Amino acid sequence: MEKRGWELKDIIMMGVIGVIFAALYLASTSLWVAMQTAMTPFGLAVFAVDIVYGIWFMAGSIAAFILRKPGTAFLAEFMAAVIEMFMGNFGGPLVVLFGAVQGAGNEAGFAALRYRNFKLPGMMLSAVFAAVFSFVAEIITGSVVLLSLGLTVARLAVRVVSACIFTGLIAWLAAKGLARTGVLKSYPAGADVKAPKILDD
Amino acid sequence: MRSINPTCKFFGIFLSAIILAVFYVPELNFFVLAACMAATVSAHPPAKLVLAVMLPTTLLAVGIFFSAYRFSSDTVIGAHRGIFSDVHMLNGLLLSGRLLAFAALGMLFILTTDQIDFIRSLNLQLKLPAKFAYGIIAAWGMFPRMVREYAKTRSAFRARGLRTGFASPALLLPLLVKSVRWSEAIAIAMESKGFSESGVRTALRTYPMRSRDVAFLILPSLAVIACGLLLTV
Repeated sequence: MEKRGWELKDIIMMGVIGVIFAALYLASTSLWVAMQTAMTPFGLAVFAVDIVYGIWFMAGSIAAFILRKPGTAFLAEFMAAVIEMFMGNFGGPLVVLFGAVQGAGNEAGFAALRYRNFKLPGMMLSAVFAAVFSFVAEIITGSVVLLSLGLTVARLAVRVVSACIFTGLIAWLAAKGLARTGVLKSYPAGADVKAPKILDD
Repeated sequence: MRSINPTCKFFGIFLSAIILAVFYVPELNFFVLAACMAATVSAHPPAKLVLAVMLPTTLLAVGIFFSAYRFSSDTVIGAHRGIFSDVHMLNGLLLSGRLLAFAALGMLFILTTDQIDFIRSLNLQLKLPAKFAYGIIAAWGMFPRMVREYAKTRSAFRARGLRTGFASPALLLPLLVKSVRWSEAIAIAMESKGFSESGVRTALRTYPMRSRDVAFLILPSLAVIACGLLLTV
């Protein structure tokens, strides 16, 4: 675990990851709208958001993998939410609140393992915590209590599976792939890579 | 709307949304929707941007209405009268209306606020550290470059006869690699030009907090509380 303070390059790097993932988050919002519209005739529209939800935690986990510093997952996810709001997400200021909650979930997952595991188990735990935190926030703001209990439990299960796939597995593979290119050599994640596969212009 | 202090506007809207979430009154959601639409339109944003926000939200709201109608719990909170005497209808309208109201509040902020002004205002009003404020501005400024790079990589694949999906790893990995390099280059450039957290900083643009900014911070929340209580009794 790194204990040095935030350097400008760390912050810009988190911001840049935030920009890339905010664009991906916004695109997944369109996917959510399309899926929800298609599922409306069956009354199952509420599941659409849970299927894509796992994508929305990826920035925090990838940034934490790179910097391996307490607070990174929260800050990166929070920044991604601010930038997603800039890009025009219709949630506006509430997107920032949800980003903070999701980032707190990401962070809690890594903190539970004392910031010592940035491999698949750590990424998975971070994903599960983010899914649960986001669901609790939605219970409060979205009046989930108005839906039947069976449907609510099924939604949480779908969200956790989505988080494990996107934020657990895919984010881990993406971050490992990025480290293997050698571009992270000045970050803690780059120290694990013995022989980087250089990807140049 | 455009002249309201961005920090006050953000928190005024944010607090209203949070307060709205504690009321279970279908009409309140639609009042907030109407008020936000009126305030947004008064700032004359391009009509296509308003549509880009409200059209997908309406589709989502219809979906949520039918989900809540079909899988409604027997929980009844708040209003239970007139067309709302049917619990399925009531819960459907509550959930879909809330989504529309949240989206309208979000639209009011995003279509009437400049992003850079908002971050600078956070720096000046809330003492957000300069490293974070200018770090976010620098990253946000790279967005057009990233879009160009993404399009260039996609064209390169196409020129070789390879088809790539929208979020293909073959496109995202090179973008991530270049973005990390750009972020390091920008940080070095900023620091070599003397950027530091500790030095005395002056600002070309300031964002004063006038009485109407403070009013915007407080009044929308009070209006939501007042309407909510009136409609509940």
